[in-house]
Order: sequence, then structure tokens, then C-alpha cells
Amino acid sequence: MAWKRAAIAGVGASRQGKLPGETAMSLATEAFRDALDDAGIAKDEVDGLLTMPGTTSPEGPKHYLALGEHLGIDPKVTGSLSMGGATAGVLIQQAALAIDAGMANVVACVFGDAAKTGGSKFDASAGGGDSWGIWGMFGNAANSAMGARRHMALYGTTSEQLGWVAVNGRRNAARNPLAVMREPITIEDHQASRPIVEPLHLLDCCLITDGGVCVIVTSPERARDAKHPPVSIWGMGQGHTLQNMGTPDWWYLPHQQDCISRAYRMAGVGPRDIDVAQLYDNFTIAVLFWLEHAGFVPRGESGPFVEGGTRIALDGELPLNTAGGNLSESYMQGWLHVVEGVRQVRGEAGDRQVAGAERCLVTGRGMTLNTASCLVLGPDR
Amino acid sequence: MSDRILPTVTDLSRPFWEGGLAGELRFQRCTACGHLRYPIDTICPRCLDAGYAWEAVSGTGTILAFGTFRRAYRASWEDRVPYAVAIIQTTEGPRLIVDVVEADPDELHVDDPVEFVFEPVTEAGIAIPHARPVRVQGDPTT
Repeated sequence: MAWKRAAIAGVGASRQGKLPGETAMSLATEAFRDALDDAGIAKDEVDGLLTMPGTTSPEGPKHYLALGEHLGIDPKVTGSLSMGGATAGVLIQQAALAIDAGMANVVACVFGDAAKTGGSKFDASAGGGDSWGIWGMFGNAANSAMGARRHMALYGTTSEQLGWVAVNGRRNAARNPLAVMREPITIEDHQASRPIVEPLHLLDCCLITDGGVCVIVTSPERARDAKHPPVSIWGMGQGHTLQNMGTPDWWYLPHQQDCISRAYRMAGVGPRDIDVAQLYDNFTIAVLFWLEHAGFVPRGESGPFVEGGTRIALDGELPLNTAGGNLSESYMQGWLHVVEGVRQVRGEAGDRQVAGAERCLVTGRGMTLNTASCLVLGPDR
Repeated sequence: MSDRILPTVTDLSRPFWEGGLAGELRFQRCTACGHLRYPIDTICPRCLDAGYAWEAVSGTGTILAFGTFRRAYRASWEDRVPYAVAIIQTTEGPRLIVDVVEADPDELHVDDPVEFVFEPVTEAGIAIPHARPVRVQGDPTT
């Protein structure tokens, strides 16, 4: 039986892209307003505020305090969390648990960042402590490039296959008015794009953008009275590896597999029950790993699965990243993946709506591939 | 002024960085449970004991995975491109990330054997470890 003890009643997004004059705070605020409007819930009803500081948020771990003051909220439950691309999922889970425990009833989960305008650098020397920059390892792409290299060596995965993930994301973004990058791309464009850290090219990498996102989590009962049909949380999972590449098979990120298995168990579903998936795509290779970790394909077979782009298209057997993802919609660190999951389950995704989409898997990961979270979303009934 | 990043040597980490001057790759071994560890830390992540002894290991391993940099993200790396940075699976167990020297990155393969070599940084009194492919005897392609 699916868990279904909390639901998403509202989703909101600010404008996305390069937005001079905006700040992490103003964009979070714009998204918060949009989400309340989407839910048809008044601000005064919000009694929980969970936030993720942006790369340009000066408040750091006190972000919830600054945002709460700005929005004028006295929450029963609050806090900020920085787990990279896993944060959206983890905060929504915390909101769901607080609601289920009766500690709060309407929790706003909020993120905003002016990473593009603020000039956030994602080419910093990777690693903590004795920085990997000592050895010339710079940029967020390096770890994913290494994973891609081993996947290619062991399973014959190709750069062109990675390219289909990028082409698919762009194709879907073209149907999404919010998306930042809507010009079609081809496999040839992907192959011709400059190397970042090989085997990854520029078009294997996510965007850097300004924007904000907000997700309103509430009880099933309250959600039924909101403006839109509730999107229920069927299952949720986390998996993390905090042991410095120390666990067996580390490079394959088995904690991501555990993360999804836990959510499937909670939701009472398996990979065959998922109609549409929003898989965290900081780099194209991430999507290939997720496809295997989620059990959509056996280990090592994700490359051929995405090749040609038909199985993962909107009318394919497993439509993926239907709004364009981090690669083409906007780099909201997975927050927009949740928004799109909700829109697909509601059936309101317009030109990019997947026919009959009921159950959606949403995944996120971050912190140099060490953290992972996921949600299984579905209808309330 | 070079923008090269050098390690911050502390009392805790000094034996690791000085080990290279003696041509040794050194890891900490927990005196309570025997776990050999890297990165350097004050306690054992397996049993939490604070006792340890530095131990020289073989300085050999294989390339678990690698990425190739064709562009320098720091000026100090401009004369190195193209170069590979690899996760090395050491023979004794710990994994660490270092650059691969004396190698054309296009000739490298996952699971290739490597050995550690050490670059003295005289002014700092330390040596930085790098990996280098092991030339297999009798193989004309290496």
C-alpha cells in the first residue's frame, strides 16, 4: 500500500534564466507567491518553512531565518538544509513527516538562487580537506566524467548515447514556456560541443541559471480542498555514502539504488508501475545511472535504452525529464523536477503532457555524488 | 605568483606529505582494528579509535576511473593539458584521486596498472604523489 500520508498541494516557480537585479531572496519570494496561488492557500495558513540556501544566499545555514522574516512567517517547523541536488527531495520528506506527525499542516519548501547573475563558480577545486585541486581536479563535471568513463569501459556506453539524454531534454524544453534553452539540438551538436572534462562535453552539462522554486506540502485532507487535485506522496527514500569512496562498488553509486528501493517499498510499486520519471541530470551520465538504479533497465544497459531517443520521448515507454531538466529547463538543483512531476500527475503539462501519466519517480543527488533522495508521486485515490 | 594549489600540511598530515620525499606512499593504520585508511583523519572511520600508526604501502594500484582535462582551469596547469585525473584503487585498499603523469591521456584505460611517483616541493619540505602508468615488460605498445 502506498504511504499517501502527505500531499503536494501547490507548486510554484519564478521566472528562470538570467535575471539581473534579482536576488536569491527575491526569486524565492516570487516562487513562494506563485506556489500559494497555485495551491489556493493563503500565506497565513503556512505553518512550516523549510529552505535550501542558494549559492548566492549570504545567510548560509541561517537562510530560513532571513526568508521567514522576509515573508513574515512564525513557523511551527523550520530549518535550512544544504545537500545539493538531493535537498529538494529531503526537505519535502521532512515536511511530509512533520505533517504526518501533526507538527505542522502547511509547509512551504523553498529555494532561490541568482547563480547566473551572481557569477557563482562551479569550477572550484573539487573535494574537501586537502583539495583535489592539488592534482588539477577542477569543476563539478570531473566526478561525473570519471563515472561515465568507467561505465563506458565496462558496458560499452558511448558519448553519443549520453547525447540522446541531452537531445531528449532539449526536445521537451521546447514544449515548456518556462525553459531557458529551447533551441533544438542534435547528436552532431552534442558531439561538436567543446570538451569540459572528457568524456563529458558542454552539452552533457547542466545550465547555470537564476530562479526560485517553491513546493507546498500539506495533509491529504487539506490538499483535497486546494485549487488542484492533490498529488500524493506515495513513497520517499534517501541513500547516502559518506565514506570517502570507501565502500565496495562505490563508483557505481549503489546508495542511489538503495534510495529508490526504499521509496518503491514505501509506495508499494516497482519500476513497471512508473509512468514518467524526472531523473536528476546535473550531467547526462547521471540519467543513465538512475535508469539502472531505478530498475528500468538491468545494470549496464542504460546506454542502448536511451539511444535513438524514442523510448525516453514523451510518447515512449518511459518519458524522461519531460520539462527539460537541469540540462535545458533551468538549473534549480532538482526543485523543478518535483514541480514537473506534480504537473504530470495532475495532467496539466500542456504540450508535453504524457498521456495517462499517474505515477512519477523524481530523483535528486548532490554533494559530489554522495547524497541522494527520491519521491514517488501519484494520485490521491 | 603561481596559482597552484599546494596542500595545507598539518601535524596530522605531515607524515603523508613527507613520505614522498622518501619515495613512500603512506597511509594510517588503526592500531585498534587494523583498518588502513585514507583520507587522513584523527580517528578510524570503522571503529572510531584514535590510535594509528603510519605505514608505507606498495605504492601501486589501478585506475578505477579517470577524466581528461583538455583545458586548464588554473594558469598553473596550462603546460600540463591535456592531462588525466584518476581515482586510483591502491593495491592495499584505500582509493585516492591524483593526476596521472608521464602519460598521454588518450592512451590510458580503466583498470590499467599504475605506480606512485613523488614530486618534491622543496620550499614546502614535502613531495606530492602522482600516478604513472606501469610499463608492462615485453608489451611493445607500452
